[in-house]
This record gives sequence, structure tokens and C-alpha cells, in this order.
Amino acid sequence: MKKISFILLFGVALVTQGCKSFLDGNEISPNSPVSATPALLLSTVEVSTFANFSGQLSRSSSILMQQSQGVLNQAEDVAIYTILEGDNTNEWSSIYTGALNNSKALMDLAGDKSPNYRGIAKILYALNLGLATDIWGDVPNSDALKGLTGQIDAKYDSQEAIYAAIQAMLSDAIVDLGKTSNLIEPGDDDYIFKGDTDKWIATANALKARYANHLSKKSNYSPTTVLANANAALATMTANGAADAKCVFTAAGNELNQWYAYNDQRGDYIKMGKFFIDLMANTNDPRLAKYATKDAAGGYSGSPLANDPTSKDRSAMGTYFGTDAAPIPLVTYVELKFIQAEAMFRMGNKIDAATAFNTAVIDNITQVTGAAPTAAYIAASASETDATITLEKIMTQKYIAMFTQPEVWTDWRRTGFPTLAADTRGAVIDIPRRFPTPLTERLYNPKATVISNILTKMWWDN
Amino acid sequence: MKKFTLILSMLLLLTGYALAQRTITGVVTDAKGAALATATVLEKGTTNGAITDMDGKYSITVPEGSTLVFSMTGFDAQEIAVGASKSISVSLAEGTVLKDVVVTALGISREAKSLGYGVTQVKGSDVAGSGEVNAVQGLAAKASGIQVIGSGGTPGASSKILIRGNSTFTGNNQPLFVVDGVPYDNQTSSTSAGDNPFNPNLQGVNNSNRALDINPDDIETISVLKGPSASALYGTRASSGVVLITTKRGAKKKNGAIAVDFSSSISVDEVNKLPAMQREYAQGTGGGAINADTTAKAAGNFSTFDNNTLTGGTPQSWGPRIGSNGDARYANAYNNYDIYFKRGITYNNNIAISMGNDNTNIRFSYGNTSQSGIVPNTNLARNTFRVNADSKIDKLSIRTSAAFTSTAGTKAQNGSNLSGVMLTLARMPASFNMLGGNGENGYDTQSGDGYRYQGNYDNPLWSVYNNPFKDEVNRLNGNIQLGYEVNKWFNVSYRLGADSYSDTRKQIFAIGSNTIPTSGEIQENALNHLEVNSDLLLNFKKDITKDFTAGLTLGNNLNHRFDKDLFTRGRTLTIPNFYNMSNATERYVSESQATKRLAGFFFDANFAFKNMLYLNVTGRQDYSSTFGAKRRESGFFYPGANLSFVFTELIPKNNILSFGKLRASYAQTGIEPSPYTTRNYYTSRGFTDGFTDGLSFPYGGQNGFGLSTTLGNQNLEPELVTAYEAGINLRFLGNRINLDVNYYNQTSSNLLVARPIPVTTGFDAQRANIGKMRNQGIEIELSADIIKAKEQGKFNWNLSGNFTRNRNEVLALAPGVDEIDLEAAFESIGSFAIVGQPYGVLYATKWLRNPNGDLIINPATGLPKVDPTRGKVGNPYPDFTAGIRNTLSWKGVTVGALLDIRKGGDIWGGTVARINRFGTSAASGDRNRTYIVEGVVATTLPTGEVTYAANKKPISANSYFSNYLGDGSASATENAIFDGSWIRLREVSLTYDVPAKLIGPAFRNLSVFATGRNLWLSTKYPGVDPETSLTGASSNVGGFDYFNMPSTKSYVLGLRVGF
Repeated sequence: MKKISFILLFGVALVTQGCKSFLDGNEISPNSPVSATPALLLSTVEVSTFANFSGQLSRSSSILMQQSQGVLNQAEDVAIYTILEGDNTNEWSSIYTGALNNSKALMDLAGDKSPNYRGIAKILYALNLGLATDIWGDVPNSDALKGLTGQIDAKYDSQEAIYAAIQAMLSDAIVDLGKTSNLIEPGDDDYIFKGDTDKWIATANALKARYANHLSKKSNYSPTTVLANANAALATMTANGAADAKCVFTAAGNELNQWYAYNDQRGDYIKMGKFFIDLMANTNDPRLAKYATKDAAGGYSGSPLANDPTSKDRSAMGTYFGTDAAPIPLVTYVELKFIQAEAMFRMGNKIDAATAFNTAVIDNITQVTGAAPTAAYIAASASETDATITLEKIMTQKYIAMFTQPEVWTDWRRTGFPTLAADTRGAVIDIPRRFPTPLTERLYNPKATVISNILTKMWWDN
Repeated sequence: MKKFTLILSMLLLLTGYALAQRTITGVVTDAKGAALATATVLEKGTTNGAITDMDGKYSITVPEGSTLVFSMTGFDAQEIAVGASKSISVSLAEGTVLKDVVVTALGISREAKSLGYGVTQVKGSDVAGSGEVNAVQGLAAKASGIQVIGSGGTPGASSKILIRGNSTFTGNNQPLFVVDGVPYDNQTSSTSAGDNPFNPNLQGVNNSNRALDINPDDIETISVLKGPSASALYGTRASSGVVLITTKRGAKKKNGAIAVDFSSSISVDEVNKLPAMQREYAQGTGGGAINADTTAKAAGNFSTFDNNTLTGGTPQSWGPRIGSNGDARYANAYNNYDIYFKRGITYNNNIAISMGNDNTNIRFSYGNTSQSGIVPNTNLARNTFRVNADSKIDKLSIRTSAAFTSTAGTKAQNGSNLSGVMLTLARMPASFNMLGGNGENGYDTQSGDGYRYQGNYDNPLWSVYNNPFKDEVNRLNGNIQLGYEVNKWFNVSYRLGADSYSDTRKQIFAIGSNTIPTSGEIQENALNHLEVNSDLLLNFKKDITKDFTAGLTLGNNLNHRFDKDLFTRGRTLTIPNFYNMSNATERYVSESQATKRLAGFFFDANFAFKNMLYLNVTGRQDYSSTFGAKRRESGFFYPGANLSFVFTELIPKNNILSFGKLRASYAQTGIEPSPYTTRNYYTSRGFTDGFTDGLSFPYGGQNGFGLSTTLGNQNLEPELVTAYEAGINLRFLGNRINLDVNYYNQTSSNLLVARPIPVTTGFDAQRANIGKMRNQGIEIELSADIIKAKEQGKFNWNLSGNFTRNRNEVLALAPGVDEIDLEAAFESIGSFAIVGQPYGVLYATKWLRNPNGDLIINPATGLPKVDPTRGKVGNPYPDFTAGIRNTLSWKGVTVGALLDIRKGGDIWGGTVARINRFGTSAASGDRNRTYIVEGVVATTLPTGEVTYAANKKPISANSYFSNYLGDGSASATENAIFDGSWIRLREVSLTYDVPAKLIGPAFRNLSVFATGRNLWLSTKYPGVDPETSLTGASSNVGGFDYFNMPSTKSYVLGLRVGF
């Protein structure tokens, strides 16, 4: 019996060992790494940011603001305010799982050893979080991105808290970017500035100005703070746009300008908006030929807020933003000049407001067309004085200059300029003031604050 | 490992018995003395058996005192106790059509009456006789409990098979295929770039399911084991059932002669159903319709489309009436379907050579299938070689099977893409002549580009010739099985099998095609699959008393699976028509591979009491490489038991109820996780909003990795499928009527899914065990010999039918999660698991309704409003399916007809909605009028009360078909959900077996046959044949029709001859 037990034990041991060695060694994926480097994460965050700022959110904002007009399929749905909870889940996901989660991972990985990386990560985090809150209102931040710890829901923060967090994060970023002792430093992986920390600091200051300026409807709005931040940024950001933060695209199929890619793959879904074309045509705006293509009749015409059987003959997006490698702006000198103008105007400093305005218009036209505007145009549209400058003029010219940027929608909601009529075919009776809470949040996040009514105003809009 | 210790000790305990063996030989004949080949001789209560050769001879070694069971399909079984004689010859009376012996798990033949669970056996000739190239499609409507879903009528298109519904959420819901005892891969793989952000199942070509590589002519039988009860011994992959295929083998021949079987057939395929088109109105917009508020007919605008220019044009057919003005481009109406589709032809030739002597037999076969499709330039060529050989020397038996298959074909684009055949064809205006270009072929222009009606859509003729997808699969699979009879009560068998294939695919998009940026594209995809499977079986059997027999099988299974997918893409081609990667200036490569290993130990114990009570107990302990460390170490165990009670043994023999059996079973199967799901990874991320291909890496010469959006989980547990089953089998009037009824209740729990979590956590899913889902259903099989001749050659009439009703319900998901998206689908519609609903319900936008269910109309537009939240709009799975087969035979002439019935099963008719909107559908041809959408207009009174009044606002036909019945802006997808019920004549066949006296001694047999497939179809579905699937067999999504390929009806003519 002893012998049998021995054989038995031996046999079991052999089989157990054999089984283990047969199974082991196959548990780690040969397809994906288990770690990354700051450079790999930064390029991921930036490309995700490009997608977020030049994709559907940019197009939707442009349609709602009547710069463009959706004339076919899903684009037409946006135009008639049929914006449903399932429509923007991809963008929502790209912001959180793409830009925010990886900038957080980058902050953690870079840490104190590589503060410049961490600073850039904070700026990109703030930029993307700002995009989310300005479109969806209250969104998760302080309780967000905890998946790695096993937490699978996220509490929503008030928009007010989000704004405070954005400012704090940008201030921290400026400190981080000022540090010169770095274990590793960003380079070509930083598509936007190739690791130029001065430009990043300027971008952080510009964003602080932008988000402070968003609070123009609130009682604690401080034009002084806005101007201080704008001035700090303008020390680096110059009229030629060399320090502007822009999405970087190329002609390669996976690196295309997303307006171009959209119009290429979804031809005739989106045309130029009648309001926008008329606005520029009526003022002989030299940017028109760059912003729009000619229509079938050889002139410029936008699609109206109505069924438009001949929409495909209308002007489409032009070369300045609409070619395969054309950059789409994120944070620019021109925006800052308009922010300056607005803040000065609100302070009552109309002289400087007019100067900033005139500079903004002329510099933007110079950038877009490659030439300074004609004397006639300047005389008509860029020679404001303290007596003639109005908020409407500032916001209308900013509206033209900021084509494609979701900031335009935020500006309109804050100021009501330019004055836009709502499409009478709309599913709701007025121009939307937010997007509905994404479907995936309603379905899967028990802590979500679900708002379906797209006319509900958010915190800074009240 | 504890379990193994147990098994091992049992093995050791049983050592030491021995009994005398003797070899019995004899001849099995029919009542008239004609030899019966392939009759089964089985040692009663065991798996020891033999099959008679061409002369009806058999040889079997059995212990003294055992009983032999002689059986054959179509004859009554006989039992004869082994006495002193070494020779036992029997003649079997023609009798029941029942399959008395069925092949069960691990290839073990068992008496049907001993089984405590449902198995359906389908004859290989019934599958081959359908003329289907794909054996899976050949099973359609032939057995209860299964649902076969074809994906279209083009050569090589996949067919999906579900047994007792879906048992898992996002894993594989199709059964395990086993050929001659060894797993046979039946994947359907889509070609997908690593940077493709979309679900590849929604576009591309109809890929093949790899059971296509089996030559139906080689199949002897197919056993469908329908649940975990039947399949506990196959381990984790058998949770969705097992399809056991046994191939034909050689047999002993008279005087060492060689038998040659030859068969040849030709099949002509035609399109069987297409969405109806209007041919009255031309391409254009705004015309041909009476406007809502006036009676004046709008003039309409012709498209600005210009002959042979490649941009512009409207996709709409809302232009003026064709021929209504002098413009030559719009003078004629064309029947685009007729111009496009052609007759497909399939040639099928098989030759088999078999020979054998007392100890050795061998069968060699070669099959060739050559098919051209209904879509121009689509085809399939399949060559199969198979050698099966058996040899027995004393106590050692060797059994080998080996097959080589080469399957190659050309496929066309399907579904949602701008080169898609149906997408561009069904949208094509009737005023457009697709052959009217000024190029060489008519479908092209002088520059060689496609001649188009709209800038974005490829000409579908140009596309199939210029954007071909070619694939070639070379597959070698086989196994060797060694058996050794240690003594009378103990034998050992070992089987080692391998299945390996390479699948190389090349997709070309010519310069100028619209699917991708118009600079042209080449995709090369190499898929490799290798599976090695080892089974060691120790079989014990013992007659404990005269009435009580016990048997035990102990087994070990080792399984290794490896898949590799290498994808290469080249874009921006310079030289036209030169399709080598060197011609691309932009190249991309992605790679993925997966290894899975599984070790299992199992037992299968049988107890038989008299001929009456059979008990079968099984258990299996599995260890899988895909678990986290803890579970990988401890493994997991799942048991099963089933009981069969032949209650007619207790009552006197009578002619009314000749046989009756009750059966019950319980079984569990565990399922291991997918590989590499236990931990977190970084991946090369791509970002898209769904409208473009988005942005991906490498980007600007830099690589990028970000956190994968799915969280891994070290603590994954096995998914469990627990099944209860009970059934009854009754045979009446001397077995002339056979009724088999089965009820099952199968619950899947701890389902392994990437559970969706809010993206605000930074991740969109977490690997987890969640939820519960139940399938319960009834399967009925009935067969009746309505007229049964007493002697051969007289008139016979058999009527048989099967009925399947499966009810699925998702019982629970994760806490707080009520809905899970099964697979990324369209923005407008998805396929979901929702608590309280059947698996895979269609989930989409719905119309807003008042409490009465009336549509609420927007008084300004006259159109219904869309509900801001989505919901369930349909269930793609049928209420029931049934097959009815009628077989009449008289003097060698056999006429058969198979009716296939499906009740329910919703389909999203995305095609119909889109062509309504574009004005090419026949319905939209009725446009010389206004329409009023049936619904109500809501008014809110000052009191806050809401009142509803009938909508009276007329709208134009254009608006009605675009925004209400179409998928135009502000429409609800609900409008395109249709009932997919059908009744079809699946097969009708006429066979003539030429009598022996007419064909002379040179031939063993000669028969000619004609088969018609799908010749008649009755359905209310307005699109293509409702047996359709956009997503094919590679997906868990069902019921989508978005420009799916049409199906076919076929006329087959053939002959079989044996020398």
C-alpha cells in the first residue's frame, strides 16, 4: 500500500507540476504594454485634444451658431436642435478616457521629477475639462478618473467648483513649467510647442483669462483678473500667432484636419450658414474667400434656417480651416485681444477696448488672408473709438475670428451676440444652451446629474 | 488538483479484473437477405461497437456472456445474446426511421434510448443533398433547437448557428464544432486594422465561417448536442452546445475490390428577393411631389450631376418624372437590379475511393466546388482532400483522419460603406444607366474611374471589378487515435489532433474609390490559427450482475489554441492598377495574437439497469491559462447527471405504444475568460467622433500609448451555464410514429463581460462577472410513416417535423446597470441586453407617444416628435421556428419537400428606411399626393391639462418618406422595425435511384437528383430575404439589415454513381 501511495503522490505531483507549466507563461498580453512613458502619454493627450476640439463638438457648435448649417442626416439633426442623449457619447468618452485620464496618468508618472511634463498635462487637463463643462454644465472632476482604484462611478461637481479647479490647475501648471530641473523633457512628442515651456506658460495664462472671462454674467466677474492673465499671456503671444496653441494635422490619412476629413467623407452634410456668409459678405470681409468656397453660381451663399433643396450648391468650408493639414486653433493671440477688448469694455475703459478690438480684427485678417485689410475695410470695420465701440461689435468680430472654435457658442450664451434667430423647425423653441447628459452617464453612473432639456442654462449662463 | 487525485485513485482501485474475450463475426442483412452496409453492432451497455462493411460483414470482440445490439437507420434493432457460436448473422426488419445509435460526446456511440438528454442526428446526405456549399447552412430547418442564420447569398458568406438561443452576453454564442473527435475551428474573422475605430462587422465583405472548409459530401452524420447536458465532457467551449461531425470511413470490400463513388452536380443561383423600387421618377430633389400646402406640383430640380464628372450629384430620387422633359439623361428608366445581378453557377464534384480488408480500411476523397456568385466577380473555389484510415492489429487499433482544404474566393463589399454593392445599387436612381459611362466598360469613364450618379458612391459594377477582396485559406487538420484493449473491462485510448490554417486576404480599393480617401488603398491581412488537442481516455466497464452494468471513463484533455492576425495597409497609391505595398506612400501595420491553454480532467460514469434505467454522471475539472493567478491555480469544477427511464419495459409489449422513455438531466458548464483580461494595459489609442476615421498613431512620426479604456480584473471567475432538461420519447404503432418532446431551462450566471462603466471614471468598461440570463424552451420532433410499404419498392410516405420555441430573458445585470450595449453598432440603433427583456433586443430612437400610444405630432411640421430617450424597438429572435419535411418514395423515386417556418424575429430594415428617404423605394413612387401622419396634436390647457386632437396637417410625399418612413432628420428608427416572419420552401428534391437490373453489374448504384432551394418564400418583410444578417456569424448582433446582400434561390441537378 505504501508503494501505491508513493506512486500516487508522485503521479499527482507530476501532473500538478506539468499542468502548471503547461498553463503558465500565457497570462500577459503580447499585444499591449503594461507601462508607458511620459512622451507616449503626452502625444496621446494632445492627439485626443485635437480630436475633441476639431470634431463633432466643433461642428455642432458651429452649426448651432449658424456659422455652418447642417443640411443632411445627422448634421441636419443638429441644425434643427434634435440633439439627443446618444449623439455625443463618443466625444464625451474621448474627453474623459482620452484626454483627461491620460493627462492624469501623465501627471502621476512625471511627478516631481519631470515637472514640465506635469505642467503641460495640467494645462491640457484644464483645457479639456473646460470644454466639457461649457457644453454639459456640471460634470465629474474631483471624484472622476478613479477607475484604476476600482471605483466605477463618479460624483458630479458643480460648474462653479469646476471653474475653481481649472484656475487652480492652471496656476499649478505655471509653477511646474517654471521649474528647470527635469529628469526628462518634452520634445517632438509635444506636437503643439515642441517642449517650449514659455509658450505653454502663455497658454496657461491665456486660459486663465478665458475662463475668468466666461464668468461675465456672474456677480464676482473680475475684469481686472481677466486682464492681468491676458497681459501675462500677451508677453509671449504675438500678432503673428507663433505662440498660438493649435491642433496639428497633416495630409496623412490618420492625421487629417477633422473638418476636412468630415467634409471629405460626409460631403454635403454641412454647408456654410446663411447668417455667417451674409454677415461677412455685407461687410466685404476679406476672410470670406478663405473661410468659404464659392457656391455653384460662383458667388457666396450659405444655407438658410429652412429646408434647402439646393443646399449642395451652397458654399462649403473654405481653405483656411478646411484643408487636410490646416491647423484648427485652440488658444490664440487673437482670442486674447478680443478678451482684452471685452474686459476693458466691461470695466468702462472704452478707449483701450476699441484699440484692442481694432488690433484683433486687423491682426486676424492679416493672419487669415496673408495681407493687411484694405483701408476701406479698416475704415468700415476696424477703426472703432471709445464713442463707437460696443459689446456687440466686439462679440460679432470675435465670432468671425473664432470660426470653428466651441468658444463661439459659449460667448453667444454669455453675451447674446451676435443676435441669432432660432430655427423655427427646431425640436426645441430656442437655440440650445447645452447638450443633454450623455446616454452612457444616464445608464451607468448612478451618481450622474441627468439633464435632458437642452434649453436649461448652466451656472455661468444665469 | 484534488479532483485529479480522486480520479487517479479510482483508476488504481479498479485495476486487477479480467475476463475472457471472444471475437464474433457475422453478416447483417435486410429481410430479403440483401447485405446491409454501415449497420451498427454494439456490445450492449458499452461503447464497444463495430460497423458492417459493404457486404454486411462485421467483426467484434466482446466478453463472454454479453449481448450484441444490431441496428441501422430505417430498421428495427435486434438484440442477440452471445452464446457458444462465434458467428452471429441477423436479418433486420425494416422498421422505425429512428436513429437508434447516436454519436455523443468524445465520439462515443451510444444507444439513443440510454441518453438522458436531447440529441438530434442529421444524416450527412441530408446536408449534402441541400446543395449548400456551407455545411452549417445545410442544417437549416433540419433539427429542433437550432437556428441557422445566413448572412447573404454571395459565395462564402457566413452562416451563424445558435443552439437553444444565446447563452452568453459578449462571448461566443455559437456551438463548438468537433470533427472526428477533435475541435474544429468555426470562427468568422473580420479584417480590421488596429486603428479602425468602428465595428468591422458593420462593413467590409461577408466573411466566411470556417466550417465552410468541410466538404459536406464527406460527412457521414452530424450530431447536435444541445446543451451543457450533452456536452459537459467537452469543457468550457461546449456551453453553447456541440456540433459533432463524423466523416465517412472505409469498409471491407469483397475480394479486396475498390469501391469508387462519384457525384457531380450543378446549381444555378438567382436572387430571390430585393427591396422594391420605383422606376418613375428621376434623380433630383424637390420635384415630383405635391407640396404640403398647395396643389401645385413642384417642378423639381434635376441633379447637377454631369455625365462622367466625378463630383456632385444628389443621391436622391426626388426629381421630375422620367421622360417628362427633353433632357436625354433622364429620358429612360432602367431596371438596375436586372442589369446588375446575374445567375450564379456552382459546380460540385466529388470522388471517393474506399477499400478495406478484415483489419484495415481506408477511404480517400477529393471534392471540388467551383462557384460564381449572383454579384458579378464574386466566386469561391474549394478543393478538399481527405484520407480516413483504420487499422486493427490484435488489441491495438489505430484510427487516423486527415484533411486538407484550400478555399479561395473573391468577395464584394457589403453593408455600410460607399463601395457596398447594395448601398450604391438600392440608392441608384432609375434614371441612371450604370453602363452609360464613356469608358471602355460602360461602368467607367474614359479616365478609368467609376461612372457614378453621385460623387460619393462608387458605381457598384466598377466597384466589384476594381475593389475586389480576395481570400485564400489553406487548412490542414487531422488526428490520430490509438486504442489498446488491456483486457475485457479496461481499454485505453489516446487521441491527438491538430487543426491549422492560414487565411490570407487582400483587399484592394482602386484609386478613385470612395470608401477611403480616394487615393487608393491595399490591405493585406494574414490570419493564422493553430489548435492542438490531446485526449487521454481510460475506459472501464463491468457487468456487475446480469441486469446491472457499470462503466467509467476517466479522461484528460489538453488544449492549446493560438491565433495571430497581421494586418498591413498601404494608402495613397501612385501607379494605377499596381497593387503591391511598394506602391503606397503611407503604410500601416497592426498585429495581435492570443494563446489560450486549457487542461481538463474528467470522468463519465454510466450505470444501466436492465434495458430500462440508465444513469450517467459526469464531472470535469478545468484549468485555464486565461484566469488570474488564483483561479488559474485552483481550477474549477462542474458536474452533470442524466437519467433515462424506458417505462415501456414495465408494461406488456403492445402495438399502440411500442416504446416510451422519460429522461431528465442536470448539467453545468463553466466558461473561462478571454485571454489577457485580467490586468490593465496601455494601448495605441485612436479618437473618433464616429463620423470620420479619426486620429490615430503613429502620429506626426511619434508613437502614442494611453491607458486602455477597459479595466482588467485579476479576480474573474468562470461563467456558469446551468441547465435542466426533461423530455419524453414515445413511439406508436410499431414505431411508425415517433414523438420526441423536450423542455429545457438553462441559466447563465456570472457572465463574463466588459461591463460598461461611466467614462468619467477614465475607463468605459471593466472586466467582470455580472448578471444572469435564462433560456427556456420546448423542442418537438415528430416523425410519422403515414404510408409504409410492407415490401421494398412500394409507395412510402413519411412526414416529419420539428418545432423550436426558445424564450430568453436577461434576469440581471450589474447593480445599477440595466442595459448593456452588446457590440458597437450604429448611432441610430444598437443591440442590447436589458433586464427583463430578451437578449439582443434592438434599441433605438422611438416616436414620442401620448398615454394612449398615439404618435404626438409637431403641429408646425406635421411630423411626429422623437422621444428624447431611446428604448427597445424590437426583438430579433423568433417566437418559434419549425421545419416540416415530406418524403414520398416509390420504386426508387423519392420526392422530398422541406418547409421552413419562422414566426417573429424583428429586423431593422435600415435599407428600406434609407431608400424611402432617397425616393428610390417603390412605396415612395406614390408621391403625387400629400400624406397625413396618423397621430395627435397635443394642446396644453391653461389648467395644465393636456388634450389631444387628431393630426390633420398634410405633408408632402417627400417629407412623409424622408422624415416619417425614412431615416431623414428628426425621424425615429422605430419606423424601420419590421416583422421578419417567413414561410419558405427551403428544399424540394426529386431523386431517382436507378434499379440494379437497369444499370448492370459494373455499377453498385446510380442515382440522379434535382433539388430546388428557396424556390418559394412568403414574408411581409419589405427588404431582402429576411434570413439576413449584416453582422454575420462573427458578431452577437442580430437583426440588422443595412444594405445587406440579397439571398438566393437555387436549382440543383446532379448524379451519384458508385462502381
